Amino acid sequence: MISLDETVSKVLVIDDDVITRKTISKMLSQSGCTVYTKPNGVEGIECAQEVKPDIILLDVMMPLINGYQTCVKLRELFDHNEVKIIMLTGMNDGSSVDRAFDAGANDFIVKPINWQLLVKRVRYALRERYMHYQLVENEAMLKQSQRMAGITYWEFDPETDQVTFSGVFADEHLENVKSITKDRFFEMVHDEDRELIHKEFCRICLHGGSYHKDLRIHDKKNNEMIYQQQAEAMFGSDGYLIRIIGTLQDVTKEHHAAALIEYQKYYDDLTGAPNKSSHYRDLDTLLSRNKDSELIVVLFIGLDRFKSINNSLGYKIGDEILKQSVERIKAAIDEHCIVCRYSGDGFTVIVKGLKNLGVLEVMLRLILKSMSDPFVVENEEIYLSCSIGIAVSPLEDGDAVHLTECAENAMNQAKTSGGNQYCYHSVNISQTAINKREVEKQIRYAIEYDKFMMVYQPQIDLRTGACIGAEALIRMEGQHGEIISPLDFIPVAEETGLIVEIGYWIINVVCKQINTWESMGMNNLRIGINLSARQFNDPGLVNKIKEAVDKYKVPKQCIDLEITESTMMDDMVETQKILTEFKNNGFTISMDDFGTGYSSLSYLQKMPIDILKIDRAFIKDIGENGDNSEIAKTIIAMGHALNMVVIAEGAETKDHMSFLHEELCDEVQGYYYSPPLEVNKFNEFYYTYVSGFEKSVHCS
Amino acid sequence: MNNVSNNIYLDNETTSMLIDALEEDFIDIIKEYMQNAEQHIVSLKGMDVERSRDMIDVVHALKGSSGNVGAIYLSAICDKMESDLRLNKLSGIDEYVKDIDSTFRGTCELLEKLIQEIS
Repeated sequence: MISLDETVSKVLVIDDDVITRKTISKMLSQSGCTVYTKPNGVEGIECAQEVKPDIILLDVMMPLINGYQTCVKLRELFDHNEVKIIMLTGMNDGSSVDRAFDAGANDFIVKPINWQLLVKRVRYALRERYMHYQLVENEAMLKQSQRMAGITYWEFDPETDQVTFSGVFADEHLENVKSITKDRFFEMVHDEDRELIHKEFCRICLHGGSYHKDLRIHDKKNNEMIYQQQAEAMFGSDGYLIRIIGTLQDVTKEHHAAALIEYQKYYDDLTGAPNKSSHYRDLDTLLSRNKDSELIVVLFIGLDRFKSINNSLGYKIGDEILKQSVERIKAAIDEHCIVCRYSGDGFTVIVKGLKNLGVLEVMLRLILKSMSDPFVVENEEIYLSCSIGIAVSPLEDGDAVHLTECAENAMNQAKTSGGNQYCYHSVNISQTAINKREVEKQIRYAIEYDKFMMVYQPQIDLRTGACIGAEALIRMEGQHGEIISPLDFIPVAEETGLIVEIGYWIINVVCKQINTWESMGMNNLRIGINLSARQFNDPGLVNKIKEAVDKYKVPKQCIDLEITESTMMDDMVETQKILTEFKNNGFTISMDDFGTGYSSLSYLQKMPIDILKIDRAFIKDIGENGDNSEIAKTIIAMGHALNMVVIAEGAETKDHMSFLHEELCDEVQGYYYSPPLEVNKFNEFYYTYVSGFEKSVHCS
Repeated sequence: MNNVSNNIYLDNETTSMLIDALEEDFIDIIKEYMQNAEQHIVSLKGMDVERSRDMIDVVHALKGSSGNVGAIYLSAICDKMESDLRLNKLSGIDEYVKDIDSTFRGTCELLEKLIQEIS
C-alpha cells in the first residue's frame, strides 16, 4: 500500500554506525515518521522487503555488503518512485556521487550529516514521492474519466505535422503509437465526412477560430464509431500557427440512442415499416414541395376480415400476416413509393412521380392479386383479401390529413362493396361520409327520444298455411317525423357501435310483445330477431337476452336469433361458442340471408343452426329470365340434409310460391303474404291465418 | 545554546541542534558515542599498518560518527588518515593514531562538560 501522507511515512535507516542510526531515528520519529534501523545491507534488504518503506537512508561504507551493492539489490525490489533511496556518504567526490546514482539512489547526503538539512531532505523526498503518486493517481483518474466520457485530447504540431492523441482514441484506433501524421488521420475519417473535416481543419489553420463537427471512424475491429470533434487553432504573437488543440468525444452510443428514438417515433416495431407519423411527415413534405402539381396518390389499404383471423387464429399469426402484408405490398409497388403501417390492419402507400393513372391501375391490381394469394403461417394456408381506397392530389384539395381521410373513406367504400377491390375517392364518398354523420345524429336522437318502433313480417308454414311466427324489423322516426329506412341507419349503427344499445332495446320490446301475444292467446309465435356482429363482441350478450326473456316469461324457443354468414365469419370460434350457449338454453337459431356470402357447408355443420333462411336474391328471379331456381333448390336440399327448417325470404309471386311448394320448402316470408306489419295489423293477419290455407297455393 | 564554546574540538552549531532535537536522549547518545569511539581507537592502536584495509573501515566509522555528533576536529583527522590509508601513505599513520587519541580525549572532556551542563 502506498502511503500518500508524507508525515506518517515509513523510513528505513541502514547504517553500521549506531550513533547515526539512533540520531536519525530520534529526529525522524519526532517528525512523525515510523523509523526502522538496520546495521548492514543484508538485514536492511530483509527489513525493506518486510515493511516496504517509503524512503531508505543508506550508508555507503558498511560491513558485509556496501551501500552501493545494497542499493542495487533494493532497486531490484522497488522502483525509483516506489521507494526513495538517499545515500549517506562521507565521500563527496564526483565519482562516489555518480556511483550512488548509478546504483539507483534518488539523492545523497554528505557526512557529517547536517541534521537540519537531513530532516528537510527526507521530507522533500517524501513529498516528491507523494506528489508522484498523486500525479499517477490523477492521471489514472483522468484517463478513467476520459474513458468513461469517451474523450480524447489531441494536438496538432505544424512543425512535425503530427497529431498526438491521449486517451481512448489511441487505444481504439492506433497500433501502439500516440502520434500520426495529419494526413493519416484524415485517411482514417469516413469517406463521406473527410472532405468537410479537412476543409474545416484547413480553414482554422489559415484563419484561426474553431470548429465542432461529428465524424465517423472505424475502429480496429472495423466497427463504425462516431466522434464529436472540437478543434481550436492557437497562433503565436508573430501570427504563425503554433498548434491546433482539441477533443474527440465518442458519441457513438448517443447517436445510436438518438437513431433508435427516431426509429421508434417514425417506424412500426412489428413490421419495420414507417408508421402513421412517418406517413404524415413524408406526405406533408411532398405536398408542400409539389409546386408543379405533379400527381401524388395516397392508397389506403385495409385487410378484409383481418379481425376474425386475429380472433380465431391468435395474434401471433395475425402479426405474421401483417409482416408478410407489408412485404407483399412493397413487392407490388414501385420502389419510389412509401409504404406505411398506418393503423392495426391499415396500410398507406404514398405514390409519387406518376406519369398517368394507368400505371396506378396496374399497381392496384398487383396489390389486390398479391394479397389474395394464400398466406402461409405455421404451415397453415390463410386466405385474405384487401380493400384499397385511392385519393389523388391535386384532384383532391387539402393537406395530408384530408388526403389520407379521403383515401380511408374510399377504402371503407370498397369494403362495404364486398372487399377485394379498389375504389377511388370522389365527392360522393365524401358526401356519404357526411350523410353517415347526419344519420348517426338521427340515431342518437331516436335513442334519446324513443323514436324506434318494431314491425313484424309474418312467416307462414307452407304445409299448413298457418302463421307460425314473424321476423321483427325495426323502424326509426327522424327528427322531422319521417321514417328512416333500416337500410340507411343500420349500417351506420353497426359502424358506430350504437347497434348494441339498439339491439337490447329490440330484445326487450319483442319479449314484451310476445308476452302480450301469449296473454291474447297467440301462443308459440316464433319471432326472429336479427343479431349484429357487434353484439357478439359484448361479453354480456347471452345473459342480457336471457334476462329479457325471463322478465317477460317468454318461452325461449319463441326467440329466433338470426345471424348472417358474415357475422359468423367475423370470428367463427367465438360465434360458435355463443350460439351453442344460446342453443343449450333453448333458443332457436337462424342463418339469415343464406347464399349471399360464403355458403360453406362445413361452416354450417359446425354451427348449431335450426333454420336456414334463403336470401331473397335467390327467390326474386324464379320464373323469370336467368332465374336462380337451381341455387334455391340446392339450398333447400342442403338445409334438409342438415335437418334444418328452410325459410324462403322475399316470396312475392305465385311462381315463387309454386316453386317453393314443389321444392318442399318449409316456410315462407314475403310480400306474397304480407309486408312487415305494425302490431295491430299483425294481430289481424294472425287471426286470418291462424287456421291456415287462407292464401296458400294449392300445388298439384 | 551550550556554554562549551571557542574550542576546536566541537561544532557548537551541531551540538546545539542535536540537544534541541534529541532532548534527553542526547546524553545517552553522546555517552554511547564516547564508548564506541573509545573502542575504535583501541582497535586502531592495536592494528599494524599492514592491515590498512581494516584500519580504513575503523577510521571511516570513527570519522562518520564523530562528524555526526559535532566532533569535527576528530572527524577531520580521521578523514586525513583515511585518505592517506587509501593512498597507501602509511608512514604517518602512527602519528595520526596518536593525534586521534589525544583529540578524542579533548573532545570527551568537552562532551562530558556539556553533559554536565544540560543534565
